[in-house]
Amino acid sequence: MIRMGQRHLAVAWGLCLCLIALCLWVRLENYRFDASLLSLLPTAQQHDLGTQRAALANKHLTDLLDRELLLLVGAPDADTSAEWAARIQSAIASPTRQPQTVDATDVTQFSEAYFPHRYFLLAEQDRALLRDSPDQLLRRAQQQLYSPMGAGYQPIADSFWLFQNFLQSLAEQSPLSVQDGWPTLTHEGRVYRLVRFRLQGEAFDANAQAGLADLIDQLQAQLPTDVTFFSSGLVVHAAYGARMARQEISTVGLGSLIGVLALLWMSLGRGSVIALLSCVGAGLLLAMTVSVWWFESLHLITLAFGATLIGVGIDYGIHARVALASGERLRVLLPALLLGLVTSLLAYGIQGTMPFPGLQQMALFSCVGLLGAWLSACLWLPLLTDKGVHPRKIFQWVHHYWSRVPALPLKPQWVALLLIAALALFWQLPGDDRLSNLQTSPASLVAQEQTFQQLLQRGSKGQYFLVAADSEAELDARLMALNEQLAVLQGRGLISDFQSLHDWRPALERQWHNRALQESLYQTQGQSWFESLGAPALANDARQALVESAQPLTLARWSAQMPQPQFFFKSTEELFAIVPVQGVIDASSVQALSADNIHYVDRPATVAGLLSHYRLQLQHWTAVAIVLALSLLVWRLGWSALPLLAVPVLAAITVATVLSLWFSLTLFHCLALLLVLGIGFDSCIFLLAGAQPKPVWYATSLSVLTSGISFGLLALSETPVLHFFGLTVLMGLLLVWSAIPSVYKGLATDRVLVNRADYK
Amino acid sequence: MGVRAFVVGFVFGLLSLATAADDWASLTKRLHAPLASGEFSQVKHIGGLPLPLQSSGIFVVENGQLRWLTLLPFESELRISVTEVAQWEQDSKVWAADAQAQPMVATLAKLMLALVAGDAGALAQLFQLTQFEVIDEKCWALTLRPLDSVLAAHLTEVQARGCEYLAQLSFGEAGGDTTLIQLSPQS
Repeated sequence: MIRMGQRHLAVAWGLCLCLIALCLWVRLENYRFDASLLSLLPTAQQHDLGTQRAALANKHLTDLLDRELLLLVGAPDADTSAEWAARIQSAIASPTRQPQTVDATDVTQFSEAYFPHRYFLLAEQDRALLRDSPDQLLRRAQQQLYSPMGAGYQPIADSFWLFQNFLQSLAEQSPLSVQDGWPTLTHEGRVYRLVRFRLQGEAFDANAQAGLADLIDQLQAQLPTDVTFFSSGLVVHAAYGARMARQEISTVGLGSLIGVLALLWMSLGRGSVIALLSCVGAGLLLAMTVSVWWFESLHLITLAFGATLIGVGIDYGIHARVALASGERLRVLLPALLLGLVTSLLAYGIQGTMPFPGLQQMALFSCVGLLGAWLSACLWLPLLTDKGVHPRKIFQWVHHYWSRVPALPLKPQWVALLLIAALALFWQLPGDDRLSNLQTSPASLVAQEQTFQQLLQRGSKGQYFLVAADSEAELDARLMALNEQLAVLQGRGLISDFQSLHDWRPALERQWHNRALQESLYQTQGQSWFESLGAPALANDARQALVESAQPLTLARWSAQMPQPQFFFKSTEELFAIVPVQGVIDASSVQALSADNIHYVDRPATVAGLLSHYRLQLQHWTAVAIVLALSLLVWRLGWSALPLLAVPVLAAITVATVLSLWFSLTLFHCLALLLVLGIGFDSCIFLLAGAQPKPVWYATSLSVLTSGISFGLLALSETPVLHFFGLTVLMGLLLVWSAIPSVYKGLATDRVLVNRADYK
Repeated sequence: MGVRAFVVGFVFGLLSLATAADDWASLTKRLHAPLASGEFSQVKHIGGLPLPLQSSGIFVVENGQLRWLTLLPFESELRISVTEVAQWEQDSKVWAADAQAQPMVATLAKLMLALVAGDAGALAQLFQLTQFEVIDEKCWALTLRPLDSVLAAHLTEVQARGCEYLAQLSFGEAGGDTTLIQLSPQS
């Protein structure tokens, strides 16, 4: 009767899974997988005004940068570089990557926008000359006028070349100038052309990235030896990251599948392999379906972690299969299986409590996947016959190891003390939370990005001051004060450079002062200047032009006509200026310039801070989960079982301590330790709950081996996150596996004492 | 730039391509003697100014640099190289235009350097030879237009004539201003 009911349930579960597969298929039709590293990261907790504003500015800057794809094409001469720039431009252009070109009108539009406000604008050098020695300025104007190179003179509109000089001073701020229709720069005899693309739609969208990494590699391969190009833009990094993740998910996934298959085939026979894989497959199917329906877009790294579930989900299956085959009844096994599930869910579920998008995805994926694998194991495995499940010769060493290691009797109270000390240590273990740990780009790409930024003399957008104000005058005043202080720091060599909105649109106060200087020049020198040109009548016209142009360049006008959105943006109530700072040598003296409405934003440091915060939180929650799980297990299995239950905990904390002291302990290492705990607890539960230790030890070893294969493959990954993860799990499991036999043999529970006799 | 402008430019380019190569070769043959030094007189017509601006002086080419010494109406020295155009006063630089930042200045500098040095190859990189006239066995006249569209919007036309070496150079700007320079080798 039971058998029949069991069969019905198993079939029903199978049908259920078919429906679930249908749901997955429907959803995957146009589902978007995410590859951006940033989307894995938590958003700042917006408690104070400074962080709120910084989040606003970060969003503004990322929106700008996300949509940018830049390439710098260099060659020994102008023709070759232009030719290759055009070729590369047309190769990369697509409806989602629109090439941005410059032409004559762009250049004139720029100067035309400034022209109406020319009497309010002065190059820094001219300003100094006007103030200190106007005679010299006049002499220079005259020389420019008579020079064969002095083109574009406008006697009335710009009598003393001051506006031309201002435009030149702006042009000098950028190493680029427009030549042959390309933004161009020359460096060490090579001519570089800047090829720009604007991305349409979502920058990290699969469409925008589609084939970009392959395309760039192909183009690099086609280049003649003396032509080079460097790429820049988040989309390039995302494209490479996504490609690598995709490749690794397939190699790791496939590799662990084959490895695990081979192992199970050898140890448990063909029938079991199919059954166990069905359990894991069911788990993955359930996890995938629930995750894609729950989350707008699932991250590729989540899938990579998910792939490792093959190793963990199979854990229950192996234990159940081995136990059932050696004559146990499911009803007897069920409490142990349930206890194993609960502790694993506890370990994985902890991740979901963090406000960290990446972790939440992984938590849901893992928990649902484990539940699916567990249910399938309970429903399907009892239907299998016992054929073929006998320890094979090649696994004899597993039993040899068990019988050789000496018993290690430990007093539960001493173990409890040790556990308390270990947990206290774990609570505060220091870690390494640099964002670069999560870098998924190949080193060559990072080097390219650096060369690119150096050539373009662009600093990183990582550190900047954010100046907020309610009005233009307030913003100008704060910016001017800040610029002065930064100039002092620059003079002392504490920072290498900074850029300001005022380079492009001087403060209003400064503009009025410029105009006063120019007015006095036109009044005192205009007449004699035009007399020397033989046109005294023009002096009046020139003065008239100055009088008629009485509008300074306001912020509203500037941002509407010649936006430089990297320096300025506004929210509904406030105006914001961004002052990027480069080459910060002394962070504290830069930090010291912060004030009420002047915030210093250090993005890498902020992200590192966040990572650190969440890593510590995860450590704390893990410690809590350990205490909870241990209490539960001690309550069910008895106080005398504590030494064995402590093995996974102490192994995990040992690995964490070793990592923290000699390598680096990151958030992702901590996650990996949760896996060690999950697998370790399972083994201990079965050893303590099962009747005979021999099949349990065999199952435990198989399960450690299968996990070892899947996580060992992860350790080979070039993506740091996955590498950390694999390596940590591998070390942890090895420790757990090697410690369990001695500690088990030393236990003083009745069951162990009975078992000890027949399995040595 | 509209599509039509591009098409017109393209067709025009094709038509002129056939003759251009011959003309450049012919120019190279005739413009072979570089000017090492000499005298110049310059007349600038600037829109809005009733009188032309006249100046004269001497020039010297040394180490790829053209030193342009104005003597009248006032003394001043301009040093022109491919990378920089600088104003000098009593052996110190008082003002400089970076070629990178000012393509117009850079092009004019390269134009003068190339013509004075008799380097037709350098001209061909920047200009299109729109007209080339052989006057007699030795003498020639040419009209150039910048290849770069941004520049062509400012510097509309360049004319030069000479025999063994460059004798006269003139250029016109989009605003209607013209500069006419006469050169003669130092006697």
